[in-house]
Amino acid sequence: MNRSTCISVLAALVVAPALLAQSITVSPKNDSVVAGQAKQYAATVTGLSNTSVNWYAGGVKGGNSTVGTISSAGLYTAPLNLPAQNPVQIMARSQQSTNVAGATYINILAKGPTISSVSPNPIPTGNLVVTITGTGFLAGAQVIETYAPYGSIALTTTSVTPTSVTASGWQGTGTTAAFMVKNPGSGWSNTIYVPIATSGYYNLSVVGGTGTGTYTKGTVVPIKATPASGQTFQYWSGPNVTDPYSAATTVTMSDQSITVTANYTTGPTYSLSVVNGSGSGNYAQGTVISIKAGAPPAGQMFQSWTGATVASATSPNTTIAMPAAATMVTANFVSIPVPTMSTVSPAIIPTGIYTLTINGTNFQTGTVATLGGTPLSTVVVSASQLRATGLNSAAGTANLFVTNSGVNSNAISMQLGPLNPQVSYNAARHFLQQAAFGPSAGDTTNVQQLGIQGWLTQQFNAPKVSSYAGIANQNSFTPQFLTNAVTNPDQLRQRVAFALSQILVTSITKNIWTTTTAPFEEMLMADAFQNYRQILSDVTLAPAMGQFLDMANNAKANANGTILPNENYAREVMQLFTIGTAMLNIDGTRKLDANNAAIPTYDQNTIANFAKVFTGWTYTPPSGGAVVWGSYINPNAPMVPYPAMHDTTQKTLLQYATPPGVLTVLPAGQSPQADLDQAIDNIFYHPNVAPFVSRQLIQHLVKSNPTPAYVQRVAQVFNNNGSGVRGDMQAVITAILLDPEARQNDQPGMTQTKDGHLQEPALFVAGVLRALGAYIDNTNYFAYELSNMSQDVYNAPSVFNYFSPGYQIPGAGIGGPEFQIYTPYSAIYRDNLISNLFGAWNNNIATYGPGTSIDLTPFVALAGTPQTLVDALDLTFTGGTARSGLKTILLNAVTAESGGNLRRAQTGLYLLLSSSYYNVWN
Amino acid sequence: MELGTIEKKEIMTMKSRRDFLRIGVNTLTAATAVGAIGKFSAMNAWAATGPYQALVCVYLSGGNDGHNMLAPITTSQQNYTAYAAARQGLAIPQASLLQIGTKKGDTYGLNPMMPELQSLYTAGKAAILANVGMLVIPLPDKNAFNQYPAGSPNLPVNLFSHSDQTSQWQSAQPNGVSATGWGGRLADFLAGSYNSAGQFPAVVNNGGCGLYCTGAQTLPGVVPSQGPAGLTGVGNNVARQQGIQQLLTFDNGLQLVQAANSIQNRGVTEANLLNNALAAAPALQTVFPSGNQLGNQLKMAARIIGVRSQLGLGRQIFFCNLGGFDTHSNQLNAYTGQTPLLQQLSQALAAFYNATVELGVAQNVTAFTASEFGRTVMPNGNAGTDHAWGSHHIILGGSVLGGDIYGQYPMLTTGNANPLDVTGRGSLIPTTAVDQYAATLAQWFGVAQANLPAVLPNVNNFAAQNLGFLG
Repeated sequence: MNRSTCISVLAALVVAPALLAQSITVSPKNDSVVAGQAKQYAATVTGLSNTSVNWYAGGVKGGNSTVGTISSAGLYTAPLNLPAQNPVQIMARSQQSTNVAGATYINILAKGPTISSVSPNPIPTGNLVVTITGTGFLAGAQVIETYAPYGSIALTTTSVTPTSVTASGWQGTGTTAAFMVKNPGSGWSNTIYVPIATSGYYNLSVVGGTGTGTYTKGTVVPIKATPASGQTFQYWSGPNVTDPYSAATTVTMSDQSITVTANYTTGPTYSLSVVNGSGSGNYAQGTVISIKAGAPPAGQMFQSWTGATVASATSPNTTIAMPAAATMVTANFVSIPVPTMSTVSPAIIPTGIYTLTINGTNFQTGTVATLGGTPLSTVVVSASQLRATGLNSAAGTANLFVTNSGVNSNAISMQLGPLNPQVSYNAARHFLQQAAFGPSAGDTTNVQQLGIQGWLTQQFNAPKVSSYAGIANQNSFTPQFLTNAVTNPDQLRQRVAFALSQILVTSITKNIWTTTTAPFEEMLMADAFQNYRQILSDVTLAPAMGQFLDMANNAKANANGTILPNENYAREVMQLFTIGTAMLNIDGTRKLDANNAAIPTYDQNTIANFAKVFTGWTYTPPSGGAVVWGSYINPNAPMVPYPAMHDTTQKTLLQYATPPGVLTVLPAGQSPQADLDQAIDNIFYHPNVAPFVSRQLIQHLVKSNPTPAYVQRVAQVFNNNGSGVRGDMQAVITAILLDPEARQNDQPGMTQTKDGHLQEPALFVAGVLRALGAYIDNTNYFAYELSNMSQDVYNAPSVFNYFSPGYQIPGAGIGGPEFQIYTPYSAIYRDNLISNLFGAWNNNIATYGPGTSIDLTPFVALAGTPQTLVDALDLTFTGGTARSGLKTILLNAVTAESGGNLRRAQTGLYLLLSSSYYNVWN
Repeated sequence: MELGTIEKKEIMTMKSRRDFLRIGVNTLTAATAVGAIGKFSAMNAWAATGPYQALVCVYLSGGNDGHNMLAPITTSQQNYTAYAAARQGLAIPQASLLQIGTKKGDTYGLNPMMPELQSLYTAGKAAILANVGMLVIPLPDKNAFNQYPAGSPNLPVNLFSHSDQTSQWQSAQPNGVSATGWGGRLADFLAGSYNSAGQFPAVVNNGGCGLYCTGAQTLPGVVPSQGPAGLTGVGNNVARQQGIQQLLTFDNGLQLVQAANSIQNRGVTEANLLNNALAAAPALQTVFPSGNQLGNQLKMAARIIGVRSQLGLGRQIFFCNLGGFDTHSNQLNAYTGQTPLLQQLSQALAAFYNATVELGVAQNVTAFTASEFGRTVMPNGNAGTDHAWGSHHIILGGSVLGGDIYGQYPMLTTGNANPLDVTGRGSLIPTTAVDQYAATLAQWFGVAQANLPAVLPNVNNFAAQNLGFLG
């Protein structure tokens, strides 16, 4: 049974015997068909016994070639050309009753275009431009793309020619895309399936030429302009074209899709002739042509363009706007000027990172300085000045010259490292970790030239420079402290005074006023190289201490004895400042009694007696008047006696075998001053003082866990400087810093497992800034940071300092005073501080608040070679002693850093300064 | 009633167990950002047994003036007039005091800035312990006190000194210097029973704690209000991630370097662990007062309590700090005096209690105040008060037998009239020792009375070792 019969039968079945109106319905209603294609129609006849119909197209029974033909079974075949009357009527008329008919219309669509290929193939993902070639494209052609799972997507048509259509859109990931095109009012073309590229393929779209396709990054694609008749190729616009003025050239693919366009002119063109350069061709007026001077002859360099007006006559690469005439431009060359150097500073190239300033003549773009055969990272400041950065790890001399394109200057022989160095670079850096706030370039050279003993002598004789004059408020101490520590030359004085300030503690926490605290800390700096006896008496009478530990206005007992002298200072001067609570051997270990128990140095009765000694002192009257009991603090002068409030009874002090003239019992009736002097002597000559104070100074300067032998060697010097003087701070400091145990790590590989001490926060910040040669002034923001790391300078929580000399690191089985404020939180805080300093700034100069800036340029200049950068970091921060394992970690990270040379320098700094190896100074 | 509480906890535990597995996976994934240093055994977190409990120490640094926090109105021993006479210009008007009663029928008044505390007290969730302070042995009056010279081992060292008394309150060791605090020792003692699967420190320092939180083995986590600090310098930078990871595991044989590495490692690990647990936890709905430093710390404590199961902890101790109580002058100033501090305290405590209710752990969490000393009853010439000794403290939580004042509220007379006044200015000998206060909290927390000396070395100097304010 064929199809029409079937439909007839169906129609017959539908017709019921009931009386119905007579009618015919034609289906499908109002359809469309592409020219030349067929469409089956059916007629539903109602109310007639005979359901046979005759079919008409365009009113013509059976139709014809103009309106299309229709068979007796209702199969319509559209005409090949669109009829004048479109749509065409399709009608079925009853054979039984010819006045009964039904009709509909069919719209004859133009035949769609035929497509033959899609380019690029495969289709890249991401933003997409496709060119579809074929035939029959008309203006307004529309491209549709279908791919799973997104369905059909209409692309935006950008250009149409009869044989190609270009459209843009976005391609997601998938496997296959299908493309169809239709013209306005036409049917769809055939379908072409194109695979979708996996990632890494990018689209090159060549407009007006050949070469369109999908390519991986780095592919060099030949492209060729295809001018139409009457067109003259002008230039290529778009990125990555090798020679924009050559009709046949190449494009190098990058990691994104690109479009290049061949530009043509149909108007008149004029010849451009570029002599000694490139860019010649025929161009329309106004075309802007890039012209490039060719390689100059040996010994010569580009000088200027002549012959026509160019954008920049003195630039070898410039442009010219094409005049309306044949034009010739000439690149002129001249002999390269010979650079000369006149002066170089510094005269001695230090070890580690250095930057030279070179003055001379004829410096020009591209001038490079070379030292010892190694080109330096060179910045041309002006025609008469260069700045060159390098890394030096050699000693001796090396020739320095500069080069202009192969033409060398005079040579200057440069000294590498100090002349006749007394100690090695490593040793100087290591020493300065103990004797200064870490090594700076300048102090390293000083130590190398003077030797350690020579440098110590210089420091002992140098005046106090650091001061807190004129600081604004409590919060100014830390910024001023760091500024002094980073920049001032009185390094040893400051470092020792900082240690003393943590042994003989006063704190802003109780003293409140800047004017109280500043004189005390200045006094410690002034006294740092004096005798410890002097320090002890100055501290005792300091107004800040008088206030902090309540010796000021400390009255003798009242008449009925219900109020007794304050014992605060009496206790702490012994417990914390001089002898401690237990009897010590000369090597700092505890003496033990027959029961292996510690032997107390004093008892409560001793404290009560010393409390009596420290009565009857008050503040100096500010205006020089009579001394007033209970007066308000005058921080600018030592406390003065007020005899009426002094306890004049007998005082029993520390009992031990005192040297001649040192009393253990003070007789009744003495003046406040006599009692004070004799009581301080009684403490000062106690055998505990030397090991007690020596060990703490060693802990602050050198190491947390000195051997008893080291303590003993220093304590013996404390007891006798060789000239019979006890407490000579210069001798003690020298003994600490020259001791073999302090110096054994001057060369790498000598470190013992218990060596070193954790850098406390103030030392850490100052040390980083000094090593980097940072700029700092007292507007810096580090007060906040140090406070958050529990070392607000001169504001310890109590007389017990920020940390205790006896602090044992929980779980580590070793002492480490600074670890008491190194919590998991503050450790991460310190890392994050470093990250904030160096982590994310896109500028070689890292600023940190207004008062700090750090120039990373020397590191960035070396970062092109990771090993050189790591060597520079090692020389700068670990004195060239970093273990190979640490350097490997840094090298791997710096090599893996993909963000460029600045990021490499930042990452290297971040990791090294975050490392525990750097944070613990050995 | 007690059984009901336990059943509720078990249900929570089951839910939390599922949550933990999910969070544990997240944590491991995120931890790879800094490499293997974040690794931990997820399943071990479930060894913790028994009902969860937390202690929260709210430290009022500077020395809170308890007499203006809690004043007598009509009591069996004195009336408002005694308070007004002693306090003179610092006396708060009777009409503005917030009245609270005791079980004995006395009427006291809370500072008018503390209506939240009044509500909690009235609801039976808060109690007050009167005139508590640091003692070595009981000192019934100043005759007992005067028989010992200053510095006697029977007296706290350096009475009236901030630093010493702070150390003593936190260490419960009034003589000399202690390396550990009683919070840390409490955690040490209970670690084996309750925290053997702990992934995170049992003691969390939310604000400026040194001594209290540190035990012989217990090392506190440090979590400020803004949350744990992770490494900010690493981010997605693979080079740095790998570099840090390698640095933290680089063993160069130097003990101090290894110790520093270990601490850095703890910082990274603990921050990762807690950040991930907190990120996966539902947000706390309880509204905390804004701009309230103590409230912020307590909110962080509540959030950490909320992830206790993920952290594997059955016992936790928190330390929060509110400073500024050293009110030597202008104590009644509405901006710089004690007044706004008490307001912050009251509002923060109330929000914290509500948060524990939200978390279903109100019965399991007890907060208590501490402060180095009280202040003189007699004002000084600067409309302020000076350092003294005993003071009054607040205990808050669902297990507190609240609505009552424990201990002995002192007579507010000065000089010869008051046997407790050791300076003539109203520096009152505590009638309850810190050891007794701590012992009561410690027993609720799971320490048997016989074992109290392990945590509180001097506790046996005092007969009453459970003051009964916790049920």
